[in-house]
Amino acid sequence: MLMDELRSSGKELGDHAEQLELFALAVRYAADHIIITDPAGCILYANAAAERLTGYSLDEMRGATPGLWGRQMGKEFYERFWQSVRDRKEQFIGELRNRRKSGEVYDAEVRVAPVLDRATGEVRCYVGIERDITAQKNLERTKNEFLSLVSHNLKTPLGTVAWYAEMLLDGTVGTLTHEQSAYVREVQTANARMLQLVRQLLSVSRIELAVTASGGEAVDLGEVVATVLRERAAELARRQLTLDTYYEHPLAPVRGEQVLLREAVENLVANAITYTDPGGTLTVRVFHKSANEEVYGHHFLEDRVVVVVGDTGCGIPRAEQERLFEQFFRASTARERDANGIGIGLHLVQRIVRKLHGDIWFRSDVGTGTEFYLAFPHLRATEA
Amino acid sequence: MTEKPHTILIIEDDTAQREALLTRLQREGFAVDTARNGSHALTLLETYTPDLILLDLNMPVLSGKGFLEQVQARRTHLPPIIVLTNDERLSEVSEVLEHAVTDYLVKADTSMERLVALVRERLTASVSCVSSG
Repeated sequence: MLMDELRSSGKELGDHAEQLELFALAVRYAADHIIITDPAGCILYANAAAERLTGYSLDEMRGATPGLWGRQMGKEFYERFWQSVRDRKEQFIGELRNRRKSGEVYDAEVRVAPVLDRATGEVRCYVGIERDITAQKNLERTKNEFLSLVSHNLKTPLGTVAWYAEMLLDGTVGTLTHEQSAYVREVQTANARMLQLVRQLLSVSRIELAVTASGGEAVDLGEVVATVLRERAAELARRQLTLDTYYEHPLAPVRGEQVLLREAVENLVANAITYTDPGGTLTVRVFHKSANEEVYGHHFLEDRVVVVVGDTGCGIPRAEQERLFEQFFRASTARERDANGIGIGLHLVQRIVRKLHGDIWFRSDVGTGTEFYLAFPHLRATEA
Repeated sequence: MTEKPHTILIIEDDTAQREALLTRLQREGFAVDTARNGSHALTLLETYTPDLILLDLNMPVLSGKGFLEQVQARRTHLPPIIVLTNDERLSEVSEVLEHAVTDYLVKADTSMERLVALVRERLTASVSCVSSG
Protein backbone atom coordinates (compact mmCIF):
# COMPACT_ATOMS: atom_id res chain seq x y z
CA MET A 1 0.00 0.00 0.00
CA LEU A 2 2.56 2.54 1.20
CA MET A 3 4.98 1.45 -1.47
CA ASP A 4 2.30 1.98 -4.10
CA GLU A 5 1.67 5.52 -2.88
CA LEU A 6 5.36 6.31 -2.82
CA ARG A 7 5.79 4.86 -6.23
CA SER A 8 2.95 6.92 -7.69
CA SER A 9 4.10 10.20 -6.06
CA GLY A 10 7.58 9.43 -7.28
CA LYS A 11 6.17 9.03 -10.74
CA GLU A 12 4.29 12.33 -10.34
CA LEU A 13 7.52 14.03 -9.37
CA GLY A 14 9.17 12.49 -12.37
CA ASP A 15 6.33 13.74 -14.53
CA HIS A 16 6.73 17.20 -13.05
CA ALA A 17 10.43 17.25 -13.73
CA GLU A 18 9.81 16.08 -17.25
CA GLN A 19 7.17 18.74 -17.79
CA LEU A 20 9.41 21.45 -16.38
CA GLU A 21 12.21 20.40 -18.67
CA LEU A 22 9.80 20.45 -21.58
CA PHE A 23 8.66 23.98 -20.69
CA ALA A 24 12.24 25.18 -20.30
CA LEU A 25 13.16 23.72 -23.70
CA ALA A 26 10.07 25.20 -25.32
CA VAL A 27 10.87 28.68 -24.03
CA ARG A 28 14.56 28.33 -24.79
CA TYR A 29 13.98 27.43 -28.43
CA ALA A 30 10.72 29.27 -29.16
CA ALA A 31 10.82 31.15 -32.46
CA ASP A 32 10.02 34.48 -30.79
CA HIS A 33 12.36 36.41 -28.56
CA ILE A 34 11.36 35.84 -24.91
CA ILE A 35 12.87 37.50 -21.87
CA ILE A 36 11.97 37.50 -18.18
CA THR A 37 12.86 40.48 -16.01
CA ASP A 38 12.47 41.30 -12.32
CA PRO A 39 10.01 44.06 -11.29
CA ALA A 40 12.73 46.69 -11.82
CA GLY A 41 13.22 45.53 -15.39
CA CYS A 42 16.57 43.73 -14.86
CA ILE A 43 16.88 40.67 -17.06
CA LEU A 44 16.75 37.30 -15.32
CA TYR A 45 16.46 35.13 -18.41
CA ALA A 46 16.61 35.40 -22.20
CA ASN A 47 16.00 32.64 -24.73
CA ALA A 48 17.98 31.72 -27.84
CA ALA A 49 15.84 33.86 -30.16
CA ALA A 50 16.45 36.88 -27.91
CA GLU A 51 20.19 36.30 -28.24
CA ARG A 52 19.83 36.02 -32.00
CA LEU A 53 17.61 39.08 -32.37
CA THR A 54 19.55 41.45 -30.14
CA GLY A 55 23.02 40.06 -30.81
CA TYR A 56 23.76 39.98 -27.07
CA SER A 57 24.51 36.71 -25.26
CA LEU A 58 22.50 35.60 -22.25
CA ASP A 59 25.48 36.46 -20.02
CA GLU A 60 25.64 39.98 -21.41
CA MET A 61 21.91 40.47 -20.96
CA ARG A 62 21.58 39.02 -17.47
CA GLY A 63 21.37 41.86 -14.92
CA ALA A 64 21.06 44.55 -17.61
CA THR A 65 17.71 46.06 -18.66
CA PRO A 66 16.21 45.79 -22.16
CA GLY A 67 17.53 49.34 -22.58
CA LEU A 68 20.70 47.50 -23.66
CA TRP A 69 19.16 47.22 -27.14
CA GLY A 70 16.26 49.67 -26.68
CA ARG A 71 16.21 53.38 -25.84
CA GLN A 72 15.39 54.29 -29.45
CA MET A 73 11.95 55.69 -28.70
CA GLY A 74 10.77 58.98 -27.19
CA LYS A 75 10.28 59.33 -23.44
CA GLU A 76 6.53 59.25 -23.91
CA PHE A 77 6.61 55.71 -25.31
CA TYR A 78 8.36 54.28 -22.26
CA GLU A 79 6.09 56.25 -19.95
CA ARG A 80 3.06 54.67 -21.59
CA PHE A 81 4.76 51.31 -21.28
CA TRP A 82 5.39 51.56 -17.54
CA GLN A 83 1.94 53.01 -16.90
CA SER A 84 0.48 49.92 -18.47
CA VAL A 85 2.60 47.10 -17.01
CA ARG A 86 3.57 48.56 -13.60
CA ASP A 87 0.77 50.98 -12.67
CA ARG A 88 -2.22 49.25 -14.23
CA LYS A 89 -0.62 45.79 -14.25
CA GLU A 90 -1.90 45.24 -17.77
CA GLN A 91 -0.29 43.66 -20.78
CA PHE A 92 1.46 46.14 -23.07
CA ILE A 93 1.43 45.67 -26.83
CA GLY A 94 3.32 48.06 -29.04
CA GLU A 95 5.65 48.58 -31.95
CA LEU A 96 9.07 50.07 -31.43
CA ARG A 97 12.54 50.44 -32.84
CA ASN A 98 15.50 48.75 -31.21
CA ARG A 99 19.22 48.53 -31.88
CA ARG A 100 21.16 45.27 -32.17
CA LYS A 101 24.62 44.91 -30.64
CA SER A 102 25.99 45.39 -34.17
CA GLY A 103 24.39 48.85 -34.22
CA GLU A 104 21.73 47.82 -36.73
CA VAL A 105 18.30 49.30 -36.00
CA TYR A 106 15.27 47.04 -36.35
CA ASP A 107 11.49 47.28 -35.96
CA ALA A 108 9.87 45.04 -33.40
CA GLU A 109 6.47 44.22 -32.11
CA VAL A 110 6.63 43.79 -28.38
CA ARG A 111 4.25 42.25 -25.87
CA VAL A 112 5.05 42.53 -22.19
CA ALA A 113 2.89 40.92 -19.52
CA PRO A 114 3.31 41.40 -15.77
CA VAL A 115 3.30 38.13 -13.78
CA LEU A 116 1.57 38.82 -10.48
CA ASP A 117 2.20 37.18 -7.13
CA ARG A 118 -0.84 35.08 -6.30
CA ALA A 119 -0.84 36.08 -2.63
CA THR A 120 0.07 39.78 -2.72
CA GLY A 121 -1.01 40.76 -6.20
CA GLU A 122 2.32 42.53 -6.67
CA VAL A 123 4.41 42.18 -9.83
CA ARG A 124 6.81 39.24 -9.48
CA CYS A 125 8.37 39.51 -12.88
CA TYR A 126 7.70 40.60 -16.45
CA VAL A 127 7.63 38.36 -19.50
CA GLY A 128 8.53 40.13 -22.69
CA ILE A 129 8.04 38.72 -26.18
CA GLU A 130 9.50 40.47 -29.19
CA ARG A 131 9.12 39.78 -32.89
CA ASP A 132 11.27 41.27 -35.63
CA ILE A 133 8.86 43.06 -38.00
CA THR A 134 11.49 45.00 -39.95
CA ALA A 135 10.68 43.32 -43.27
CA GLN A 136 6.96 43.97 -42.80
CA LYS A 137 7.62 47.61 -41.85
CA ASN A 138 9.89 48.15 -44.84
CA LEU A 139 7.24 46.79 -47.13
CA GLU A 140 4.71 49.15 -45.59
CA ARG A 141 7.06 52.11 -46.01
CA THR A 142 7.74 51.22 -49.64
CA LYS A 143 4.03 50.91 -50.25
CA ASN A 144 3.41 54.33 -48.76
CA GLU A 145 6.23 55.97 -50.68
CA PHE A 146 4.86 54.43 -53.85
CA LEU A 147 1.36 55.61 -53.04
CA SER A 148 2.59 59.10 -52.35
CA LEU A 149 4.66 59.24 -55.53
CA VAL A 150 1.86 57.93 -57.72
CA SER A 151 -0.70 60.25 -56.17
CA HIS A 152 1.56 63.25 -56.58
CA ASN A 153 2.26 62.46 -60.21
CA LEU A 154 -1.42 61.90 -60.89
CA LYS A 155 -2.39 65.17 -59.32
CA THR A 156 -0.26 67.31 -61.61
CA PRO A 157 -1.96 66.39 -64.93
CA LEU A 158 -5.39 66.37 -63.25
CA GLY A 159 -4.72 69.86 -61.96
CA THR A 160 -3.79 70.97 -65.46
CA VAL A 161 -7.04 69.58 -66.86
CA ALA A 162 -8.96 71.42 -64.14
CA TRP A 163 -7.32 74.74 -64.98
CA TYR A 164 -7.87 74.46 -68.72
CA ALA A 165 -11.49 73.37 -68.30
CA GLU A 166 -12.06 76.32 -66.00
CA MET A 167 -10.47 78.69 -68.52
CA LEU A 168 -12.63 77.32 -71.32
CA LEU A 169 -15.73 77.94 -69.23
CA ASP A 170 -14.81 81.39 -67.90
CA GLY A 171 -14.28 82.82 -71.37
CA THR A 172 -10.53 83.39 -71.15
CA VAL A 173 -10.20 82.15 -74.74
CA GLY A 174 -13.58 83.10 -76.17
CA THR A 175 -17.20 82.12 -75.60
CA LEU A 176 -18.43 78.53 -75.90
CA THR A 177 -21.81 77.46 -77.23
CA HIS A 178 -24.31 76.16 -74.71
CA GLU A 179 -23.59 72.57 -75.74
CA GLN A 180 -19.82 73.03 -75.66
CA SER A 181 -20.06 74.43 -72.13
CA ALA A 182 -22.11 71.42 -71.06
CA TYR A 183 -19.45 69.07 -72.45
CA VAL A 184 -16.61 70.88 -70.73
CA ARG A 185 -18.56 70.75 -67.47
CA GLU A 186 -18.74 66.97 -67.84
CA VAL A 187 -14.97 66.91 -68.24
CA GLN A 188 -14.67 69.09 -65.17
CA THR A 189 -16.92 66.87 -63.06
CA ALA A 190 -15.16 63.64 -64.00
CA ASN A 191 -11.80 65.25 -63.40
CA ALA A 192 -12.88 66.52 -59.99
CA ARG A 193 -14.03 63.03 -59.03
CA MET A 194 -10.68 61.58 -60.06
CA LEU A 195 -8.86 64.23 -58.05
CA GLN A 196 -10.95 63.35 -55.02
CA LEU A 197 -9.95 59.70 -55.31
CA VAL A 198 -6.28 60.59 -55.63
CA ARG A 199 -6.58 62.88 -52.63
CA GLN A 200 -7.97 60.04 -50.55
CA LEU A 201 -5.20 57.69 -51.61
CA LEU A 202 -2.72 60.37 -50.73
CA SER A 203 -4.27 60.82 -47.30
CA VAL A 204 -3.58 57.20 -46.42
CA SER A 205 0.11 57.62 -47.03
CA ARG A 206 0.13 61.07 -45.46
CA ILE A 207 -1.06 59.69 -42.14
CA GLU A 208 1.88 57.33 -42.08
CA LEU A 209 4.24 60.12 -43.10
CA ALA A 210 2.85 62.45 -40.47
CA VAL A 211 3.81 59.69 -38.01
CA THR A 212 3.32 61.53 -34.82
CA ALA A 213 7.02 62.34 -35.04
CA SER A 214 6.14 65.72 -33.63
CA GLY A 215 4.59 63.99 -30.61
CA GLY A 216 1.35 65.82 -31.34
CA GLU A 217 -0.19 69.05 -30.19
CA ALA A 218 -3.01 70.00 -27.84
CA VAL A 219 -6.24 69.90 -29.83
CA ASP A 220 -9.71 71.08 -28.82
CA LEU A 221 -11.96 68.46 -30.39
CA GLY A 222 -15.02 70.65 -29.90
CA GLU A 223 -13.46 73.28 -32.08
CA VAL A 224 -12.47 70.74 -34.73
CA VAL A 225 -16.04 69.41 -34.87
CA ALA A 226 -17.57 72.91 -34.93
CA THR A 227 -15.32 73.95 -37.83
CA VAL A 228 -16.21 70.88 -39.89
CA LEU A 229 -19.94 71.41 -39.28
CA ARG A 230 -19.73 75.11 -40.15
CA GLU A 231 -18.23 74.24 -43.52
CA ARG A 232 -20.99 71.71 -44.17
CA ALA A 233 -23.87 73.96 -43.11
CA ALA A 234 -24.91 74.85 -46.67
CA GLU A 235 -24.81 71.22 -47.78
CA LEU A 236 -26.89 70.13 -44.79
CA ALA A 237 -29.50 72.75 -45.60
CA ARG A 238 -29.54 71.78 -49.27
CA ARG A 239 -30.13 68.15 -48.37
CA GLN A 240 -32.78 69.15 -45.84
CA LEU A 241 -31.02 67.51 -42.93
CA THR A 242 -31.54 68.66 -39.36
CA LEU A 243 -28.41 69.10 -37.30
CA ASP A 244 -28.52 68.41 -33.58
CA THR A 245 -25.33 69.32 -31.71
CA TYR A 246 -24.06 69.27 -28.16
CA TYR A 247 -20.67 70.60 -27.05
CA GLU A 248 -19.51 70.26 -23.46
CA HIS A 249 -17.72 73.34 -22.08
CA PRO A 250 -14.98 73.51 -21.07
CA LEU A 251 -13.44 70.52 -22.82
CA ALA A 252 -10.06 69.02 -21.95
CA PRO A 253 -7.66 69.06 -24.90
CA VAL A 254 -6.53 65.78 -26.48
CA ARG A 255 -3.09 65.04 -27.84
CA GLY A 256 -3.16 64.82 -31.61
CA GLU A 257 -2.61 66.46 -34.93
CA GLN A 258 -5.23 69.05 -35.76
CA VAL A 259 -5.12 68.19 -39.49
CA LEU A 260 -5.59 64.48 -38.90
CA LEU A 261 -8.39 64.84 -36.36
CA ARG A 262 -10.17 67.15 -38.72
CA GLU A 263 -9.84 64.64 -41.51
CA ALA A 264 -11.33 61.95 -39.27
CA VAL A 265 -14.33 64.05 -38.22
CA GLU A 266 -14.81 65.30 -41.78
CA ASN A 267 -15.03 61.76 -43.12
CA LEU A 268 -17.61 60.71 -40.53
CA VAL A 269 -19.74 63.79 -41.13
CA ALA A 270 -19.48 63.45 -44.93
CA ASN A 271 -20.63 59.82 -44.68
CA ALA A 272 -23.54 60.74 -42.42
CA ILE A 273 -24.65 63.35 -44.96
CA THR A 274 -24.22 61.07 -47.98
CA TYR A 275 -26.10 58.14 -46.50
CA THR A 276 -29.06 59.97 -44.96
CA ASP A 277 -32.24 60.85 -46.85
CA PRO A 278 -33.70 64.38 -46.87
CA GLY A 279 -35.66 65.03 -43.69
CA GLY A 280 -33.22 62.99 -41.63
CA THR A 281 -31.20 64.12 -38.63
CA LEU A 282 -27.48 64.32 -37.91
CA THR A 283 -26.54 64.23 -34.25
CA VAL A 284 -23.06 65.35 -33.27
CA ARG A 285 -21.95 65.45 -29.63
CA VAL A 286 -18.63 66.19 -27.98
CA PHE A 287 -18.25 65.57 -24.24
CA HIS A 288 -16.23 64.09 -21.37
CA LYS A 289 -16.48 60.65 -19.88
CA SER A 290 -14.76 59.93 -16.60
CA ALA A 291 -12.68 56.83 -15.97
CA ASN A 292 -14.74 53.64 -15.67
CA GLU A 293 -17.96 55.34 -16.78
CA GLU A 294 -19.66 53.43 -19.56
CA VAL A 295 -19.26 54.93 -23.02
CA TYR A 296 -21.73 53.19 -25.33
CA GLY A 297 -20.70 49.71 -24.33
CA HIS A 298 -17.03 50.56 -23.70
CA HIS A 299 -15.16 51.15 -20.47
CA PHE A 300 -11.92 53.08 -20.20
CA LEU A 301 -9.54 53.18 -17.27
CA GLU A 302 -8.80 56.84 -17.83
CA ASP A 303 -10.89 59.90 -18.68
CA ARG A 304 -11.83 60.31 -22.33
CA VAL A 305 -13.10 62.98 -24.68
CA VAL A 306 -15.84 61.38 -26.75
CA VAL A 307 -17.20 62.43 -30.13
CA VAL A 308 -20.45 60.90 -31.37
CA VAL A 309 -21.53 61.29 -35.00
CA GLY A 310 -24.98 59.82 -35.56
CA ASP A 311 -27.37 59.76 -38.48
CA THR A 312 -30.82 58.44 -39.32
CA GLY A 313 -29.53 57.05 -42.59
CA CYS A 314 -29.54 53.73 -44.40
CA GLY A 315 -27.43 51.84 -41.84
CA ILE A 316 -24.98 48.99 -42.28
CA PRO A 317 -26.14 45.37 -42.57
CA ARG A 318 -25.11 43.35 -39.51
CA ALA A 319 -23.26 40.76 -41.58
CA GLU A 320 -21.03 43.41 -43.08
CA GLN A 321 -20.26 45.37 -39.93
CA GLU A 322 -17.15 43.41 -39.10
CA ARG A 323 -15.46 44.47 -42.34
CA LEU A 324 -16.46 48.13 -42.22
CA PHE A 325 -12.99 49.54 -41.49
CA GLU A 326 -11.21 47.45 -44.11
CA GLN A 327 -9.48 49.33 -46.90
CA PHE A 328 -11.58 49.33 -50.11
CA PHE A 329 -14.55 47.70 -48.36
CA ARG A 330 -17.95 49.26 -48.97
CA ALA A 331 -21.19 48.20 -47.33
CA SER A 332 -23.89 47.07 -49.78
CA THR A 333 -26.19 49.84 -48.52
CA ALA A 334 -23.46 52.38 -49.31
CA ARG A 335 -22.88 50.97 -52.80
CA GLU A 336 -26.59 51.23 -53.56
CA ARG A 337 -26.68 54.92 -52.71
CA ASP A 338 -23.37 56.10 -54.10
CA ALA A 339 -21.55 54.13 -56.76
CA ASN A 340 -18.47 56.33 -56.80
CA GLY A 341 -16.80 55.80 -53.43
CA ILE A 342 -13.76 53.58 -53.15
CA GLY A 343 -14.12 52.48 -49.55
CA ILE A 344 -11.25 54.37 -48.06
CA GLY A 345 -12.88 56.97 -45.80
CA LEU A 346 -13.56 54.83 -42.74
CA HIS A 347 -10.30 53.00 -43.14
CA LEU A 348 -8.60 56.40 -42.99
CA VAL A 349 -10.56 57.41 -39.91
CA GLN A 350 -9.59 54.21 -38.12
CA ARG A 351 -5.91 54.68 -38.96
CA ILE A 352 -5.95 58.25 -37.73
CA VAL A 353 -7.70 57.33 -34.49
CA ARG A 354 -5.28 54.49 -33.79
CA LYS A 355 -2.30 56.67 -34.58
CA LEU A 356 -3.49 59.08 -31.92
CA HIS A 357 -4.10 56.32 -29.33
CA GLY A 358 -7.86 56.71 -29.54
CA ASP A 359 -10.65 54.20 -30.05
CA ILE A 360 -13.38 54.01 -32.65
CA TRP A 361 -16.48 51.84 -32.78
CA PHE A 362 -20.07 52.10 -33.97
CA ARG A 363 -23.63 50.87 -33.70
CA SER A 364 -25.81 50.51 -36.75
CA ASP A 365 -29.13 49.11 -37.88
CA VAL A 366 -30.39 48.99 -41.44
CA GLY A 367 -33.12 51.57 -41.91
CA THR A 368 -32.61 53.17 -38.50
CA GLY A 369 -29.19 54.75 -38.81
CA THR A 370 -25.64 54.63 -37.61
CA GLU A 371 -23.72 56.11 -34.69
CA PHE A 372 -19.94 56.35 -34.69
CA TYR A 373 -18.06 56.84 -31.45
CA LEU A 374 -14.56 58.23 -31.08
CA ALA A 375 -12.80 58.31 -27.72
CA PHE A 376 -9.44 59.97 -27.09
CA PRO A 377 -7.36 60.16 -23.92
CA HIS A 378 -6.95 63.61 -22.40
CA LEU A 379 -3.76 65.48 -22.78
CA ARG A 380 -2.55 65.29 -19.19
CA ALA A 381 -2.19 68.56 -17.30
CA THR A 382 1.55 68.00 -16.94
CA GLU A 383 1.91 67.78 -20.73
CA ALA A 384 -0.18 70.79 -21.65
CA MET B 1 -3.58 108.24 -68.48
CA THR B 2 -3.57 104.46 -68.10
CA GLU B 3 -2.08 103.01 -64.95
CA LYS B 4 1.05 100.90 -65.40
CA PRO B 5 0.05 97.23 -65.04
CA HIS B 6 1.42 95.13 -62.18
CA THR B 7 4.21 92.78 -63.16
CA ILE B 8 4.16 89.08 -62.26
CA LEU B 9 6.89 86.49 -62.70
CA ILE B 10 5.78 82.86 -63.10
CA ILE B 11 8.46 80.27 -62.29
CA GLU B 12 7.15 76.91 -63.52
CA ASP B 13 8.75 74.07 -65.47
CA ASP B 14 5.52 72.41 -66.68
CA THR B 15 4.76 74.03 -70.03
CA ALA B 16 1.00 73.43 -69.96
CA GLN B 17 0.64 74.91 -66.49
CA ARG B 18 2.98 77.83 -67.26
CA GLU B 19 0.96 78.66 -70.37
CA ALA B 20 -2.35 78.42 -68.52
CA LEU B 21 -1.14 80.80 -65.81
CA LEU B 22 0.36 83.16 -68.38
CA THR B 23 -2.80 83.33 -70.49
CA ARG B 24 -5.13 83.79 -67.57
CA LEU B 25 -3.06 86.46 -65.80
CA GLN B 26 -2.48 88.37 -69.03
CA ARG B 27 -6.25 88.39 -69.56
CA GLU B 28 -6.53 89.98 -66.14
CA GLY B 29 -4.36 92.82 -67.42
CA PHE B 30 -1.08 91.95 -65.71
CA ALA B 31 2.32 92.19 -67.37
CA VAL B 32 3.58 88.61 -67.06
CA ASP B 33 7.03 87.10 -67.47
CA THR B 34 7.84 83.41 -67.25
CA ALA B 35 10.87 81.36 -66.20
CA ARG B 36 11.33 77.62 -66.70
CA ASN B 37 13.21 77.05 -63.46
CA GLY B 38 14.81 78.81 -60.49
CA SER B 39 18.07 79.51 -62.23
CA HIS B 40 16.35 81.07 -65.24
CA ALA B 41 14.35 83.23 -62.81
CA LEU B 42 17.48 84.44 -60.98
CA THR B 43 18.87 85.67 -64.31
CA LEU B 44 15.65 87.56 -65.06
CA LEU B 45 15.66 89.10 -61.59
CA GLU B 46 19.04 90.72 -62.30
CA THR B 47 17.31 93.09 -64.70
CA TYR B 48 14.04 93.90 -62.92
CA THR B 49 11.88 93.26 -59.88
CA PRO B 50 8.33 92.02 -60.48
CA ASP B 51 5.48 93.04 -58.16
CA LEU B 52 4.72 89.40 -57.38
CA ILE B 53 6.22 85.94 -57.93
CA LEU B 54 4.39 82.65 -58.51
CA LEU B 55 6.77 79.82 -57.67
CA ASP B 56 6.61 76.08 -58.37
CA LEU B 57 8.76 73.86 -56.13
CA ASN B 58 9.62 70.71 -58.01
CA MET B 59 11.72 71.95 -60.97
CA PRO B 60 14.89 70.81 -62.72
CA VAL B 61 18.19 72.76 -62.66
CA LEU B 62 17.24 74.89 -59.66
CA SER B 63 14.21 73.93 -57.57
CA GLY B 64 11.83 76.36 -55.91
CA LYS B 65 13.54 75.81 -52.58
CA GLY B 66 16.95 76.44 -54.11
CA PHE B 67 15.60 79.59 -55.73
CA LEU B 68 14.28 80.87 -52.39
CA GLU B 69 17.62 80.27 -50.68
CA GLN B 70 19.60 82.05 -53.38
CA VAL B 71 17.25 84.95 -53.93
CA GLN B 72 17.14 85.67 -50.22
CA ALA B 73 20.91 85.66 -50.00
CA ARG B 74 21.11 88.17 -52.85
CA ARG B 75 18.31 90.58 -52.12
CA THR B 76 16.96 92.32 -49.08
CA HIS B 77 13.61 93.37 -50.50
CA LEU B 78 11.42 90.76 -52.10
CA PRO B 79 7.94 91.02 -53.61
CA PRO B 80 5.17 88.72 -52.33
CA ILE B 81 5.92 85.11 -53.28
CA ILE B 82 3.07 82.64 -53.75
CA VAL B 83 4.22 79.03 -53.78
CA LEU B 84 2.12 76.92 -56.12
CA THR B 85 2.86 73.21 -55.92
CA ASN B 86 1.37 69.75 -55.61
CA ASP B 87 3.79 68.79 -52.87
CA GLU B 88 1.77 68.45 -49.70
CA ARG B 89 4.39 66.70 -47.59
CA LEU B 90 4.33 68.38 -44.21
CA SER B 91 8.12 68.41 -44.09
CA GLU B 92 8.27 70.35 -47.36
CA VAL B 93 5.59 72.81 -46.34
CA SER B 94 7.27 73.66 -43.05
CA GLU B 95 10.69 73.99 -44.70
CA VAL B 96 9.43 76.31 -47.41
CA LEU B 97 7.46 78.42 -44.97
CA GLU B 98 10.69 79.25 -43.18
CA HIS B 99 11.53 81.40 -46.20
CA ALA B 100 9.91 84.73 -47.00
CA VAL B 101 6.91 83.12 -48.62
CA THR B 102 3.49 84.79 -48.57
CA ASP B 103 1.27 81.80 -49.42
CA TYR B 104 1.51 78.08 -50.01
CA LEU B 105 -1.11 76.75 -52.40
CA VAL B 106 -1.73 73.21 -53.59
CA LYS B 107 -2.26 73.47 -57.35
CA ALA B 108 -4.83 70.73 -57.69
CA ASP B 109 -6.91 72.29 -54.91
CA THR B 110 -6.70 75.83 -56.28
CA SER B 111 -8.97 77.13 -59.01
CA MET B 112 -7.77 79.84 -61.36
CA GLU B 113 -10.48 82.09 -59.96
CA ARG B 114 -9.17 81.71 -56.43
CA LEU B 115 -5.60 82.20 -57.57
CA VAL B 116 -6.42 85.41 -59.42
CA ALA B 117 -8.29 86.74 -56.38
CA LEU B 118 -5.31 85.96 -54.15
CA VAL B 119 -2.87 87.57 -56.57
CA ARG B 120 -4.96 90.77 -56.54
CA GLU B 121 -5.19 90.72 -52.77
CA ARG B 122 -1.42 90.31 -52.33
CA LEU B 123 -0.67 93.06 -54.86
CA THR B 124 -3.01 95.48 -53.10
CA ALA B 125 -1.53 94.63 -49.71
CA SER B 126 2.06 95.05 -50.88
CA VAL B 127 1.30 98.34 -52.62
CA SER B 128 -0.38 99.82 -49.54
CA CYS B 129 2.59 98.55 -47.54
CA VAL B 130 5.01 100.40 -49.76
CA SER B 131 3.00 103.61 -49.87
CA SER B 132 2.45 103.70 -46.11
CA GLY B 133 6.08 102.79 -45.42
